[in-house]
Amino acid sequence: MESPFIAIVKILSTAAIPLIIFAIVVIAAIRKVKVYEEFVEGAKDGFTTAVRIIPYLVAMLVAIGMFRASGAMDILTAAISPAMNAIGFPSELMPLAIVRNLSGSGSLGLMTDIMRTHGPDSFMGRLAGAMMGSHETTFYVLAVYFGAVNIKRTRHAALAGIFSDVVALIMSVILVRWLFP
Amino acid sequence: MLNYIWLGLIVIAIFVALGRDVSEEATNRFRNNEDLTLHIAPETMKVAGPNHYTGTAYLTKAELSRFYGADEAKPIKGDTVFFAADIVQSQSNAKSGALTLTLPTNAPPIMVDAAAANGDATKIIGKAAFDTSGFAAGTNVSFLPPTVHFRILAKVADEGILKIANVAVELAIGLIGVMALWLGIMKIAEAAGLVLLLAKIVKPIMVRVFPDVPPDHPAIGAMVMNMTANFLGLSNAATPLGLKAMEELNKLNPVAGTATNAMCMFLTINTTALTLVPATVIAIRLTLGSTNPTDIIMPTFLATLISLILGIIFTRFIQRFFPVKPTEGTVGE
Repeated sequence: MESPFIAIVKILSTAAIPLIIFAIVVIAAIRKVKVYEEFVEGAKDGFTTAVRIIPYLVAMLVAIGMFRASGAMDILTAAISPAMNAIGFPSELMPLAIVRNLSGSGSLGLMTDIMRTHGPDSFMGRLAGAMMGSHETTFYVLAVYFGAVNIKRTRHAALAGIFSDVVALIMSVILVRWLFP
Repeated sequence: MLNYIWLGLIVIAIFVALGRDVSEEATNRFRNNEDLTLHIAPETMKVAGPNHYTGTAYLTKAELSRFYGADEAKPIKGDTVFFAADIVQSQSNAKSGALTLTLPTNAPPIMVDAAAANGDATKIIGKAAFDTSGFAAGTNVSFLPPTVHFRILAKVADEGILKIANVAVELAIGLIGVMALWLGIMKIAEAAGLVLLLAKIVKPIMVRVFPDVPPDHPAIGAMVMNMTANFLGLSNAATPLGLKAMEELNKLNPVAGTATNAMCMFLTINTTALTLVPATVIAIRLTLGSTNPTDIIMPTFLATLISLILGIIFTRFIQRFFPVKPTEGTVGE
């Protein structure tokens, strides 16, 4: 049932983390690093870094949560859909395109739903998959990464992130149409 | 920029919620304090206890449309909606009592909305008055559902604000373990000179993408490790390594609290999510019976690669329009 390619990928992704840790620790030990002491010294910062993110994450996720709960997201989707339809982007995928930038679990649910309705091997199913795989939850990444170093003035980061997402979205449509005619 | 996006999200959310609520109040969409006429199917009624009956109640599409308006009845397929009914009479053979309707999957959306607004999307609990006390054939029930007011604002407060605030904290707390692990491993790799070695290998590319970062700075090594983890789909490792890279980049930051060009560039690279194998997507396609779940790899990879390259060029191009204001850094925190 599984192709050899999937099997190899699965093994790689399972083995990668233990092997990377093994390699780093062994090489460090050979180079006479006091591995245990160094590890503990570095790991100390884990807690403070995670806690430092909290205010940024709360700010970002609550704003997104309000936007979704109020139904503003649905209105935005409905407003953009006709224009997107005109350039060959199916309006059913519009919610996914917007939610993908805001919420990881939310977009995963939407993608599964689209694949279940249209079939995973349909144009819609493939496009939903490509959109899911080629996007990151931009606003979550912004909040977490800048939060970790207390950056409040983010300059052009949000605009650049949105730009990349739009490019990935357009390319997904073009490539899926081209590769699966 | 993020200030405006954040403000916009909140302001739009409140305006939309208020607008929808006010329009629902103005049209009395939920017909607050009005009775809906239901029918009891007498042959289904069973005694469940003293003055307590269970069975089936039904509502015709015509009544639904008369009560809520034709538009609200439109989504209903067929002529009748059946509900599981639970009746508690106020006393033996009384003509009034409490009626709990369990909504079927084909329930009218407006009733689902009303139920959700009162706490449980599957049940409506209201007051009922019966034509006759014995549930004979043709017994009509005047059903008074609970009132619904400002339900969208309530939903925003509950689901959008209070629950999500907790989710944010849970997400951050959930990071502590992997954070500690990878920061520890990074420290070992640094002490062994491996991070520096990695930085040297990728120097030719990195000096072009990150001209402000010295090529042998630990930030380069941390960024490369983060990108590698992302590329291999190891998201557990990618976030801690990425945060480590941000900390290293922040050491080069002349204005605390303001993002540097290098940070924005790193974020752009991160949000494009260049991945060799979109594992989650493939797994879901597999479970949904795709004949070739991995055929998604090619379009995904190419789309990300193109967005990565264009994203880097775009970020480099626009950074001049967002200058760092040195005075801001010393104000406030």
